[in-house]
Amino acid sequence: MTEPIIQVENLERDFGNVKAVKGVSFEIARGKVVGFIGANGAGKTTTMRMMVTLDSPTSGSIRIGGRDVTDEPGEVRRRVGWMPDAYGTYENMTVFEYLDFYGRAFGYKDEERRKRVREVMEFTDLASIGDRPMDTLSKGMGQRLCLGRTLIHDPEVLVLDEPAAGLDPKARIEFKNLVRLLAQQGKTIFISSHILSELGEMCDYLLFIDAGRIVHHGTTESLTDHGSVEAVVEIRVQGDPETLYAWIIAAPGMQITDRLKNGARVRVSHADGEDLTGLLKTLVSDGVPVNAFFKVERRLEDAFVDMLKGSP
Amino acid sequence: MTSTSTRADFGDWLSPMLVKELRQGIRSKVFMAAFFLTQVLMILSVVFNLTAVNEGDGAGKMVDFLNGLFWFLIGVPLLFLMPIRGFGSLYGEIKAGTLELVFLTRLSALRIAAGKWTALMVQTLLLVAAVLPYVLLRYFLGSVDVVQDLQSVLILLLASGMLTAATIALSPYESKILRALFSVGMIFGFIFLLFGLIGVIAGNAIRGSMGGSFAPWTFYFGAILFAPAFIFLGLEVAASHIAPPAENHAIRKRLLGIYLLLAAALLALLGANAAAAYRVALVLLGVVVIDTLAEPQRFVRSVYMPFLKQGPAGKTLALFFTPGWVSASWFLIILTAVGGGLLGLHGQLDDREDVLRIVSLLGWLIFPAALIRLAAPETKYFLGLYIALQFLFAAVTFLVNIMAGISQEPMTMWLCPLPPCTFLLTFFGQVKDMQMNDFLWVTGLVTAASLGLLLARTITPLRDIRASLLQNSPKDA
Repeated sequence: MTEPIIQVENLERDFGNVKAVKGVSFEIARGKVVGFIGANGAGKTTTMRMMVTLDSPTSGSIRIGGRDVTDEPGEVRRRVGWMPDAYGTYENMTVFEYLDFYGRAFGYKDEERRKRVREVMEFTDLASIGDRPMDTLSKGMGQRLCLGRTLIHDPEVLVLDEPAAGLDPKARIEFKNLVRLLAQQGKTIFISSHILSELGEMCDYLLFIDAGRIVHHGTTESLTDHGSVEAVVEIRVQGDPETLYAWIIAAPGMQITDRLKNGARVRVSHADGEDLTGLLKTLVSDGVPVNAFFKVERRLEDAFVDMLKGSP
Repeated sequence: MTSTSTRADFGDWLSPMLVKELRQGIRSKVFMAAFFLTQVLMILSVVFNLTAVNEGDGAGKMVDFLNGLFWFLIGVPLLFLMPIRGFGSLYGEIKAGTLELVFLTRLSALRIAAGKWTALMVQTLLLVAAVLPYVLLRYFLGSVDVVQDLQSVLILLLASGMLTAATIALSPYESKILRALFSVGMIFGFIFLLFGLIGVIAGNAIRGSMGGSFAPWTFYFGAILFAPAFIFLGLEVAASHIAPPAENHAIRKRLLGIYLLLAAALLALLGANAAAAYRVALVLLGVVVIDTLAEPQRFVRSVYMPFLKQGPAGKTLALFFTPGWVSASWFLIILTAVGGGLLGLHGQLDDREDVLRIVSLLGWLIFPAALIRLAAPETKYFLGLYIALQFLFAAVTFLVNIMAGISQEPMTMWLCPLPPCTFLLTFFGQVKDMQMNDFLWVTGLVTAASLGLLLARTITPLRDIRASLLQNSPKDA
């Protein structure tokens, strides 16, 4: 088994008497896309800043590619790209000059630098606006530029803090596509976001943090599943739904969770795929005028809220 | 990541920060305005000069005036407009959140600060280059010595470099109160420097009062020894404020303190005015002491490891050269010993007044620091409190001195337990001969007690640091 590229162990960070991060531990394998989810003030940004050497742990350790962030910050910085939730712009500087500056600052020279800047501009679709002053960019373009800067030294690990915040739907889709491409290139991506549905689509794993503690670490499916013992189905009928309600109330192991205009959302106990097929057949044979029947996946947002309710 | 060795791009020879700053700076409105304003004012100055030359009688006074005006017009952009831009250089980046992204590259805090300074100086040089034709034109119009004019430009440039380093040193401070205080101080400093320097330059240029050469060689040698040290100190102060905790800037800053004393000693050895040389060194040393005593105490294991690897000698050095006010307090012992030794060697402690001046200077520096560390050892507002206390002591000294003058009573004696007050009284020659011994004893004792108190206050943090190192885990101490 290969060594995980990110290893966080018993990480703690205190700000005076406030414990922002309390004993956080996790490991991330190379090439995975991991979503980092938590409410405001849960400790996400603090943890991420320590991962990229911008803050020091009070105790515990973080190793990126086997290098400790405290002992070898320079080595870690070569391996990590950090994209903060907000980045400042420079006056009197074009998009090209901005990336060129970071290329120089990372030690690229001459043609190698120009080539790298060109590659990044093409990847982030900024090539056509290279001469534009960076303080005139839209939010979406700005985020792409910020991602470009993060990629300029070709890091193995990308740590992205709320990269899609404030983007319009089009820019969000574009950004999501860029993250997918990066994942295909084998980058390890650690990404926090409030738009949980998008994280669900992008990520292999999800980490939930609440009040400075990790409260869940698992695959997206493990969260969106309602569990093996129950399912939620949405049933829609032709005309008055009262017949449906009456049928459900009389049926064992079923409970209405939402009454809809022309149907209901129903929790079914001890249900697997075959049981649900049987349920539909029974409904139809009992004369309930069903015109739509489908299983409802649990939304990530609901899983998140349920988890917060369950955490101490 | 690899790097090619060939450097076809001229910018590759320069610091990345300098390239960035120049790209931004030369397009900035302030630089453009300063450049065009200087040109317009120079043209006006030459036109007036031409008029004065044709005036015949009374031309001498007019030339004097125009000479002053000429240097004033050069002085404003060099000593004010360009240096003042340094004040916002790091602050702007901190506020915009761009600085920490730069830290994730290979650039160190010192290279960032140095890049900012160099870029401002290159722009200042551009302004100077644009002024040079007018300097030559003045020569052809008569009544000036072009060599002296060029020397004057050089001195202005040096002063501009030092002022720019000072403004960059102050630029990382985010506190609005501190920034307001610095701004007021800078404006007063600018007025003092501008009129002082221009008075000297204009006067000397006309009369050649130093027998043909503009200034004695010791002036230039002193400038060579102290000006780069001052600039480096300013940049180090700025760098240490913006640097990540893992960077150790304490070593260079503290060694610079020792260098200043040695530079003064060298000047004195070479026959320069020892008192003046030490005065300059002590002023700069004051900046080193205040800055190091204001350093927050953080424990970062990686800072201590290089010292610990050197065995017992390394451990001893760590006590004096690791970042934070704790080791800064111990470093004061070295500074006091080296400074006292050198001052004594060059006859600067021969009479009681000299001794009182030096002791009270030390007290002026450390007494407020001891008070603050006694009341709130880990305060985040050290510098603000320190400046406030210094203002308070200055106000008390001023009031008591006035009252003493009115009542004809020796009321200033009441101030001898307060070294900052003693220092101000000594500085302005308000300590009478008969009071000298009392002042010396009391101020000396209080100063020694202040140092003792500071050192005593370091015991707990030192224990914490030791415990953290033994645990082998990072912990804020």
